[in-house]
Amino acid sequence: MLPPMITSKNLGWTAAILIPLNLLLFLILPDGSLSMRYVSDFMPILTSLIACYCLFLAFKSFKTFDHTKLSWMLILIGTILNMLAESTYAFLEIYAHIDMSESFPTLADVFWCNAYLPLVSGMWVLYWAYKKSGFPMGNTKLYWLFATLFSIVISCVILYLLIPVMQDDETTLIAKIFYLFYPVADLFLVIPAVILMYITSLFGTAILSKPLRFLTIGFIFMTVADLIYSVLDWQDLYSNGNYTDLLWNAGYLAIGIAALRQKELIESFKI
Amino acid sequence: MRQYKNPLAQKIHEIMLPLVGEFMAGGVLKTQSKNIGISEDDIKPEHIPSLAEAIKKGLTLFLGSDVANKVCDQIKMIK
Repeated sequence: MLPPMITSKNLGWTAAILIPLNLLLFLILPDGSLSMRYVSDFMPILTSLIACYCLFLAFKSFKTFDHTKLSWMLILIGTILNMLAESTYAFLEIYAHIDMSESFPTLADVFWCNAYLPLVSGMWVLYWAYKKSGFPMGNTKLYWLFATLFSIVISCVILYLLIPVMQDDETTLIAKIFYLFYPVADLFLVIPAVILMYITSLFGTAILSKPLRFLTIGFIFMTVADLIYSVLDWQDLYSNGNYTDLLWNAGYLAIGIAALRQKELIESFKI
Repeated sequence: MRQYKNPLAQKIHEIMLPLVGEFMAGGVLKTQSKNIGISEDDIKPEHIPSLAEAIKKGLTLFLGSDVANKVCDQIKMIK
């Protein structure tokens, strides 16, 4: 039996229901309860699985293997690794009964860390391909503004997260490496995402811009969630049902919508 | 919609408009015309193939090579 046909519009509606439902469950389920754990752990598996399926459809819609197909393939591989990480995390917490707040890093983190390479590569391939295209890059002064803002963000991350983590004697060396890895890798991911977001804004409401716009929104949601998580987890303030989870789930669904938009865009030219 | 004095420029603009929007369509036509040493007002039929190929390069990122080729062919058919 084939999975039902999903469109970007259907997925948009699904996201509009799923994310508020997720929030509602977080509000009403008791903290620390098994049901909270199930919702907190299975929602990201569901949303990342949806993203993987949509990315696969987008990848298949390209015939020739060019830079565009390569970048979508890399994003698909990265999202599959993220999905494996979410699944591993759920398995370890729910079935292996491991206290994930005490055990860091775990096998799930190995998958998450490995996901960054294809994701970052995919985004930079998109950026590089655009730069080579000869299309306008927009207002160059704004790039200086971006660079200034990024410098401020990087400085804050270093001052308020990386340095305190490094100086914390209670955190093991391996945990420190992983705590440092995530925000640094996220910065490499968010830089092309923000640049591409600005570039797509130059297209206005034109149809070409929609896939990349949703893709960059998805990655920005996930990067913000990662940064918040790093701070909270290091301070032992993260637990199941934390509202940060909503950003990850929304991020995965935005990536799924981006992929379906891309597929629909290509198919619209086949008619 | 932007209006060009040159009918060939106008037709290219009209093909690109729904795909990339008003700002980008104008920007791309201006940049790619400049790259081949002319302005939008000076576009002649012999310039169309190179303009089409240059525009195709940018569209490939968003559409993939196959579909970008179709748009390129559409531009090349302009007379």
